[in-house]
Amino acid sequence: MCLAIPAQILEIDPAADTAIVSLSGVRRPVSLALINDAEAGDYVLVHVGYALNKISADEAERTLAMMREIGEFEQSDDALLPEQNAEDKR
Amino acid sequence: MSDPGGNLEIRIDGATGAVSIRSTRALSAARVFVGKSPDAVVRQLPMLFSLCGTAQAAACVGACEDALGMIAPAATLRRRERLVQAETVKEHLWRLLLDWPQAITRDDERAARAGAAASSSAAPSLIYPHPQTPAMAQVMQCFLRARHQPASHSEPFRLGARVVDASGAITPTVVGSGLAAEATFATACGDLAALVREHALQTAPADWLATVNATEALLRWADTTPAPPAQLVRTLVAEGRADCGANAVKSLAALPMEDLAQGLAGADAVALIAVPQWQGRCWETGPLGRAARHPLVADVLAEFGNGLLAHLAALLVELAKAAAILESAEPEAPATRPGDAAYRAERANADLGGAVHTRVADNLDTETDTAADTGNAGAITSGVALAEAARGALLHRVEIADAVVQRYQILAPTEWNFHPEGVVAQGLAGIAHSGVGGAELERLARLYITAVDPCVAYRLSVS
Repeated sequence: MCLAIPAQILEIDPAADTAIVSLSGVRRPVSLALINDAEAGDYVLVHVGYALNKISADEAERTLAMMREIGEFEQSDDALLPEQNAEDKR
Repeated sequence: MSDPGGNLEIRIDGATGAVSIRSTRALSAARVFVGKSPDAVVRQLPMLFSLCGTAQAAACVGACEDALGMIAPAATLRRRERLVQAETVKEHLWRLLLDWPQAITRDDERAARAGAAASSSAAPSLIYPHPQTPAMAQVMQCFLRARHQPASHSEPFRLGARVVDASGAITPTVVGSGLAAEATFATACGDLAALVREHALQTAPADWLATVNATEALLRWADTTPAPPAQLVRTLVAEGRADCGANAVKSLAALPMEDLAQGLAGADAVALIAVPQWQGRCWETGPLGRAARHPLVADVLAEFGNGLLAHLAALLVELAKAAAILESAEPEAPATRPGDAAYRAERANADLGGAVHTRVADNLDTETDTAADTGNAGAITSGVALAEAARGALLHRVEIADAVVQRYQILAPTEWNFHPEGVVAQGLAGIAHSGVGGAELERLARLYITAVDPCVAYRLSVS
């Protein structure tokens, strides 16, 4: 919920105000509409196609480590709730 | 870890009007905090849930303080409130300047923009092109300046809001730099409010709230104002879509914190978090319920129901209210200490704005003294707090034993609003049954989804 994902800027297109970032190793385009001083190599938080703000490499790594941990939870109880509960309530 | 945030899968059957909403959001993400110290959790949680990171931080620190029997100074509570209001301004401007204009755009214009974006890269389906809006960059920079400006008295989102000087005495050096910090914070808040004037209301927020007090007044304002939000109002009314999506799901002005806290402590907690209901019904939480008492929103609701125009009006009213609060923010005096008579008087008189609720803050008469009460060894204490995030009420509940978090739960607004039978499901079903189809059905569906506003990406399919 409300998760924004750390990503590193690979290249910037100043004319389009967009960037290509590496999200878990995958190249994705994002808007830079909310940031005015981004540079290639910076880490940013990305949410639904927007780079929200810059963060340090250390913050990025700590946040990604938490997300990896969450991913393990989600995999380990895929057979459990909440989706199962959601189905039950319908 | 392809999509750790998850998304909403929203399907509309254009032939039957049936709507299904399926969430893949990581609702158990808060389990990552189990086994950590409350100090670590209040530091790490806003990093993880960073979209509404300020409201998340306020709810988190409030719940942990509640569990530990800690009390924050009034000035700290006021700073937290101001920061949540600033985040609401940032988020609402984002909706009004970026998301609403994009959602209201007809298909042919959207295709032209998508074509332009696709020429520079292969856009995945959840990434879409954006209009050029340098104003939002200014808004974000202003918000970040306010968010990262230290307070003179404490770190606002640290447990117990530690007073700088443990003895309570504030040295001249701290007072000097503290007052400068408070002045810088007030300036950042003022700058944010100025951006609301310039890019949204084009008048003083307090004046807007006083004069735009009925549907007719809103239309007059929209007709004489060139700003993008006024254009949205004009477009909705000109298209005859003011009531689009209106349905019977009610909006709550405030979530029943204690009832829900009991539910989260019970056996059905997982279901409550995934598909929340209260009193056996679905509810909407967010700007519409919070602003429903303002005469403009009340008038639009009476005439058009909870359709697009009511949601847009509520967004504008909340934006104006939050900007008016930020505009009036004075540099704060150095903090009093919990336990002081001056502290109690300050808290009683504090204009806290109502965006953050904890049991302690809501019950000043029962307030005891300062300091953490960690309870008996091994005993579990629970805490709860609620922050009015931009998209709706955000409830956090924590259980702590031996200074370690044993359980952490978050009940978020998207689960109320995008419940399979909730306000968006009902609104989209109404639109599907209204006789529109094809591209227009999809455009109106995107508008209604944007009006209620999920905090995750969504995929919409119309068949």
